[in-house]
Amino acid sequence: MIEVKINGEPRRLAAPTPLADLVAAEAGHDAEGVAVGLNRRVIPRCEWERVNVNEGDEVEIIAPFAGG
Amino acid sequence: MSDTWTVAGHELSSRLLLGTSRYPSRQIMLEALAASGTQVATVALRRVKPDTGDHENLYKVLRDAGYLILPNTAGCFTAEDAVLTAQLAREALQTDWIKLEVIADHDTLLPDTEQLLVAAERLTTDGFQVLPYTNDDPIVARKLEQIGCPAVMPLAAPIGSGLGVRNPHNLVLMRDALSVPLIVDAGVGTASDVAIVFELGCDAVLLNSAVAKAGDPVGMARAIHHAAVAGREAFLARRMPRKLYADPSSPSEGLPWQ
Repeated sequence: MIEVKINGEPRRLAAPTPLADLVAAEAGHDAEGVAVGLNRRVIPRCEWERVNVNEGDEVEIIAPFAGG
Repeated sequence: MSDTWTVAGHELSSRLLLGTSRYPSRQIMLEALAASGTQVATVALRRVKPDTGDHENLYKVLRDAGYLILPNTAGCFTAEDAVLTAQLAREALQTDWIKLEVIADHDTLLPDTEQLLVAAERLTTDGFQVLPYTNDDPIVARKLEQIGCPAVMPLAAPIGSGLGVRNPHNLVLMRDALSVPLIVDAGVGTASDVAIVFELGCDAVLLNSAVAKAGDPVGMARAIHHAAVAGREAFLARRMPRKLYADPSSPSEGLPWQ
């Protein structure tokens, strides 16, 4: 098991997991308009399959919301 | 009369930019956007909440309705957070313009101009088109223009206050000091405030609460559309000079019994 944070919430994962899998779980498979930060760095969509989330990583999954 | 303006490479015919927050409903928001005639809708970026699917709806609804979507960095208190949020926004929306907000405190929501300048410079270097929300300070505005911002966005009054233009003199100073568009962002409360902004020579107005929190948001959006047109046309028509004393409009010659 590894411990990570996803959108500020502590989470346990069975093993290092591709970002793409986490995005699909959090935001659905149609992740249009979604962006991902890993340890305060933006990870482009084209790298979500390749980049694994590891022990201690902090992931932010964000999207547009109502704003002024 | 063609009276378009251009900001960050977008040629626009409407001089209003509208926020998408705090409307009574999604439907009223969309009707208000349409009634205002705006072509640009602003959004914030927040953590995705599982199950809601709300983010997809908003993004797709705005895009499918044909609006340009301008993301903001609302909620950021440091240059570092604002830069990261802007980078996430660019990735999320595949767009390089950003409404840059770096706020100093929760009570006033006034800009921290020191952090704003730092963030504006870093983002401009990184290829962003930075539209900075700033104080009505001509000197800071000039620095933002020098950094390369394609517009400067001073407040009329604090965000959400609806107080109208607190310092028209400074807006005119800013207008004279800048060659990039001046977009008043925040503080207008009703249609007459919008008309005043345009009569002062500002190029555009970005607003949210004045419409969203009106008793009838769609009606207010329509009123503000008219006010923008009226104020802009009044500016172009060049108002008469102010005078201290009266000046009769009827001729004084030819009066009977005199």
